[in-house]
Amino acid sequence: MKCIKCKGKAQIKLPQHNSRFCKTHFIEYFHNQVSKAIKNYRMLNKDDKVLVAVSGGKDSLVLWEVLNQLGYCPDGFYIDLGIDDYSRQSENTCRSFAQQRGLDLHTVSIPELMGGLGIKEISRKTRRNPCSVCGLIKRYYFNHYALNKKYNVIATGHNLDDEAATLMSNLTRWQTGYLSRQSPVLPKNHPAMVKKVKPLHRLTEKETGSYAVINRIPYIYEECPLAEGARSILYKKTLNYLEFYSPGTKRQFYLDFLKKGKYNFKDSEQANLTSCNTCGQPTTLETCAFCHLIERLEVKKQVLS
Amino acid sequence: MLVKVEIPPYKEHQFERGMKVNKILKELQLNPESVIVIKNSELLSPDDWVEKDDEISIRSVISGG
Ligand code: SF4
Ligand SMILES: [Zn+2]
Ligand SMILES: [Zn+2]
Repeated sequence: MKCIKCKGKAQIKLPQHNSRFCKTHFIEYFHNQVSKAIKNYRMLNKDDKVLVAVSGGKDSLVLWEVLNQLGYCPDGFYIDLGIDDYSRQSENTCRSFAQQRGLDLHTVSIPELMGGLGIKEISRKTRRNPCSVCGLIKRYYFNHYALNKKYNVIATGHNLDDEAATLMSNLTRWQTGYLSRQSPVLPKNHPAMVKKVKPLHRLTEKETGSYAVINRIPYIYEECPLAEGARSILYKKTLNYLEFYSPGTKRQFYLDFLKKGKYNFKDSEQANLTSCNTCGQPTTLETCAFCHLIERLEVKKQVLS
Repeated sequence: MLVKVEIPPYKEHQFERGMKVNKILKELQLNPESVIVIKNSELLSPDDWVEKDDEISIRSVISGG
């Protein structure tokens, strides 16, 4: 198996592109895909202050690495979710990655901010699914922290598989509002909102995983012990099944949705975006979901320094 | 060869002969789109040959949550 660029030994096969690449040309291909995403959606400028949300998993660390290589000088942001060993290991992984590359890692701790409670405890106390409270809390602090520290873009490691699985989930339930909003860029729609971008949305999990191994980026590949994700994993496996028999299906499904499908769906919610009467962050309600959660937990919210 | 599947329930498989990576995945009914195969920290391609005495690991690339 030979690299289609240099005829050297190919290290990776990409049936969806009918391509095979050696290490060097795979890295070149990967960076090109990220650059293309950034350019197509005007995600970043070289003078933007960029914060990369990192979890210790492959996608976010790969994103941090690539943005750094492409000259965007991103800082990392890790949220300690207080999920026992898993959170400790994840944080250490992010720390050593940052240290090795001389990058800045910012961290906040949910137990410190929320009266000693981790995600598990919060989920139990509120009788809500852990991933749903976790998502809500992470989104809140990403935005809050970035705004406080004057970052103007938050980059997350969502890949093609994440986005395609979300699309499939939204389609099977005809969530027309979500469909109209699903995008590689979420613009600054409110003075207290920071723009969010997904520069890996053109690359599959297989590609980000391969990139991590080829570039010797140590990452946590154990799943979070609270991962309920049964449904999103089911969608991913289904898409990979189709992909196996018909290479290119997954890419086409998602990228063509962005090009040809999305504009057919109307969004009714975004128009009603206002400021939370308690914290000032953007919300479609009077009090935002995060402040409701804090109220229910009866904890005193700590202010970020 | 020893194949460590680093996906719960973390099974290990022993094969008595050398094989291509492709064939190993087929034997274990794993979708090549969902996993990466590693030998001594190096990524293996589907066409790479794995010797009878080698040890490899297979990692899922699917993340949940
Ligand atoms: S799997 Fe769920 S609980 Fe665990 S980090 Fe992801 S969203 Fe949070
Ligand atoms: Zn090459
Ligand atoms: Zn609020």
